[in-house]
Amino acid sequence: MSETWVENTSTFDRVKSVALTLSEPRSAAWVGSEAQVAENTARNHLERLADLGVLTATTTEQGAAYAPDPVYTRSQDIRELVDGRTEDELAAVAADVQEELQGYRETYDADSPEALRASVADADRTPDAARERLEAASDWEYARYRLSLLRDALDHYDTYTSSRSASA
Amino acid sequence: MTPDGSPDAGAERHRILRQLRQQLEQRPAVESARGQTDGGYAEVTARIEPNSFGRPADSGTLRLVCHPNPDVADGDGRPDPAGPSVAGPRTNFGAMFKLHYSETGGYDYGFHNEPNAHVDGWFHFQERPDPNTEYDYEPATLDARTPTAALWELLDLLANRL
Repeated sequence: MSETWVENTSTFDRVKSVALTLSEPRSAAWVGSEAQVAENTARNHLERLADLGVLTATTTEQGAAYAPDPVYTRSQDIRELVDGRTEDELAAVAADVQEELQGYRETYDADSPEALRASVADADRTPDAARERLEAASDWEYARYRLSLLRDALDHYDTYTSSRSASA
Repeated sequence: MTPDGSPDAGAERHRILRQLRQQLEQRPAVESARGQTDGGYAEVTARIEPNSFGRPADSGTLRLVCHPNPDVADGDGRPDPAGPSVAGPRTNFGAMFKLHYSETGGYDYGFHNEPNAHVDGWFHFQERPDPNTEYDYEPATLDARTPTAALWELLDLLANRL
């Protein structure tokens, strides 16, 4: 565990950051242990983040479990994407990402990231080739998500930027 | 979510790397950090003050890559965290990742968790004095169970190496 982390961040910051990098729901005790924060303190922070819509809270046999709220996360992603960019700039990026996606299909002769990932299991694949294919599958999934954000941003550009235009 | 209802791996990668960029900005020695490419988080790069790492170079760069769900088949060479057969427990979460430092002058080193032909299992340290020299590799261990805690632990390990 990192003492530098404790010295340079608050308990709230550590709990929030650990919670927002979770891949599955976790309890306050689990998050507190990972964030080097007392369980009760972690629970207070997590409940506050759930109240704010940053996290979701589900009830389990062991008590509440917390995970990133997908709606909050996506709204953050779109806000960051449209910030300071024109519709034309976003459309140009979308065209680049579409080209990138086509490149994965042609380079690896696969229809999807899942198919590309499945090809890693071929027995004659070297570790370097396996790494390259795993990275490409992840990059492919990321490009697909990024294109969905760009399309959302372009479809609702006026809505997402209206308050900034009004205050400019 | 994907059409089959599973979590969107691309969304998870974006979410995690944005958090890690924010954490990097709180680390002493990090001058700035940003997602790449512009407006995205396929990876994060950070400008480092080399003197804070005890290095004499003019400038340094950290490159952080994280693939949260490699979802690889068995038999890929990844060590079993519960099994001591491959240099003991090595990492406690499934992401494939790398945190790599490089500086003007050519020296570079970093921690990588990925398939490789140089050590048993995935997680290792690699270092070379300049781009014309082969890397040295050695197995490494990591206690963290989440990307955020792993980042700070890795930064400590990087600093301790110098």
